[in-house]
Amino acid sequence: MSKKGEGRSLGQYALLRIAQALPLIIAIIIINFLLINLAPGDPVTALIGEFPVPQEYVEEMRANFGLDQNIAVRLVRYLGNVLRGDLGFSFNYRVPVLDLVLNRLGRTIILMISAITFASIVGISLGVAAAKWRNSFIDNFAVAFATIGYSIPVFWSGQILILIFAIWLGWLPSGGLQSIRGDYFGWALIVDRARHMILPMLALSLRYMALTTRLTRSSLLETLNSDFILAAKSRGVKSRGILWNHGLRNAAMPIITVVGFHFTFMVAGSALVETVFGWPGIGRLLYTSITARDFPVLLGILLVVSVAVILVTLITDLLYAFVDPRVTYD
Amino acid sequence: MKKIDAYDDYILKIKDLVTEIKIPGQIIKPVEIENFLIPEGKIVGLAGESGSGKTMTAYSILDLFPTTAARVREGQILFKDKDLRGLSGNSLRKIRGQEIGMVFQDFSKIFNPVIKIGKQLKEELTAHGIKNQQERIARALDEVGLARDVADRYPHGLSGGMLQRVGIVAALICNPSLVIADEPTTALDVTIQAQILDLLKDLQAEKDFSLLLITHDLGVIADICDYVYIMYTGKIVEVGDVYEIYEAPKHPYTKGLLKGAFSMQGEEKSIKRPIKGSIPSLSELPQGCRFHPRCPEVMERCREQEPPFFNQEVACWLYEN
Repeated sequence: MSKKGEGRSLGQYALLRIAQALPLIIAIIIINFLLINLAPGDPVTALIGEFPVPQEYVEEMRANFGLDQNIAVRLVRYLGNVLRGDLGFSFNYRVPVLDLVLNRLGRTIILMISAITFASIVGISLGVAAAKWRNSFIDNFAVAFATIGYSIPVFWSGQILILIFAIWLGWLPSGGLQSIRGDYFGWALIVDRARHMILPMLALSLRYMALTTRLTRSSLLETLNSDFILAAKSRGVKSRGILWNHGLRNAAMPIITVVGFHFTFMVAGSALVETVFGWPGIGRLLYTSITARDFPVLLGILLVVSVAVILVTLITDLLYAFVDPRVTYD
Repeated sequence: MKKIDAYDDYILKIKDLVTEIKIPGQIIKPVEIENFLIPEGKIVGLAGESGSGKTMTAYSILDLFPTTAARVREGQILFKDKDLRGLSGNSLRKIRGQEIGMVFQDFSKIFNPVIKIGKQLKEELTAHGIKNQQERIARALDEVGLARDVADRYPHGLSGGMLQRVGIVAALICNPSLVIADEPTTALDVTIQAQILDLLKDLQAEKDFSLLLITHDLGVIADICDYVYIMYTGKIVEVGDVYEIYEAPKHPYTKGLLKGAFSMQGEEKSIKRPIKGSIPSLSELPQGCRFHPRCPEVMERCREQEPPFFNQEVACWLYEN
């Protein structure tokens, strides 16, 4: 916050954080590069598969992909390319990595943002209701939901959702990005895609909904026990004002932290969900690229995800100060 | 000075109040007050050691407790001859802040740390449907000697003394007819204590509200009160006007408290005969007079029978006649 003489302005702080992130990103690239090369298997064997080919052909492909070079040379060359905005060429898909990743990234982001939003809305509402009517039926329900929802793995809840809503009830499509035979345009296409997104979104949000519920409940209960709540009541402030203006506002800090944190973990969750539901996003791309030993795509995805995580963390930190005036940027 | 029960008008009359707290395995009673009066426009002190039930008495008046385990079980709390215990939640809410203001001990915790002072004062005015908020806040801040820009600050930007002044503003801004000040100066350093006390006294004289001052500090009581109630383990043990009690305390507990208070202020820093022992736990109260294990003048009878309130002044067998 821009206060006279102390702290930094918001813009300065954001710039500083971005500047600090750059070396971090380079370090992440190097570590990822080395880790991937440590893993067994290589793209050429993955591409050729079981087919018997002469050894010279294999060597030639290696040379084409630049895999015959020393690892240090390859690393430096890769870094140079990344700095120029070139993430390389996919062995498997035969397209530039950047195009491939960006194309898939949008779909994953839509899925993740709707899952986070849905999880936050339901989780916060349920948590507030549980704290407000403590020890009531709704409180018990919320606590049970939080425990069970958190313990169910994504791939299992995804399959159960498909079983119930796609197979038994037949309400929603079981997977994919859009109807294969449908020939939709404009709004109809959006509606069709949204229908396809509902189940993966539900599966992805369940765990975070459970966490947000539990956290909102405990954080709000703690806030409502504070002295300043008692003092506000002694001044005659209405209980609705106390719950919203005082309670939830002060309970928001840990909730924001965790929602930001969820975002980073959801990347892993989305790989599972996208695989179960055949959603062609970055998570599924990650999965296929690992199977195909498609190193440039893997590196590209990891890079994009790291940047996204750093950005989300930054946004979370900036939001703190918006919610809590005691936070200064130092 | 008139005796406290000889007035015509009382802002607050408490009769047979019992407050209880559920603790694991049993129920304790931190407040058991038979008779407690605040004459209109007077300053009444409520004194006793920590744990004697003073703050719980204040909470009982507003029916506002920091824990859901506590509640007023029985009795009457007549505020302007109207029993607060019979009121609905919303009517009681309107009385809090508007008719009865409260000043707290721990001023650092009474404002929401993430909301500006001015906004929190406005919230109070809005809750009681009061208009001209900006003007009213500015005037109230003037009255306690604070700059108007305090309204644009957050609680963490104010010093302890300033915050307690804002605490007084919050208690007085709706012009209540009764103010309860619970240890208003205890958490402040000595020079600020005197300022805050003078401020309370001046405001009381100017606005003519009645003041219930809760403190363990008999020096503070001597400074500004008209009458004083002495409380021990939830019960009133003595009441009188301040001069009378300081000149000729009756209850051995009051005598002990006064010795403590004045030897601390005098030249000798040690207390010659402090009250021995410490206040008993409410779950293990002694039989008979609750003070007898610590009393220097204990008699046989004190161990068996609890003394009634003699002559509307003191609960001690020494004054049976």
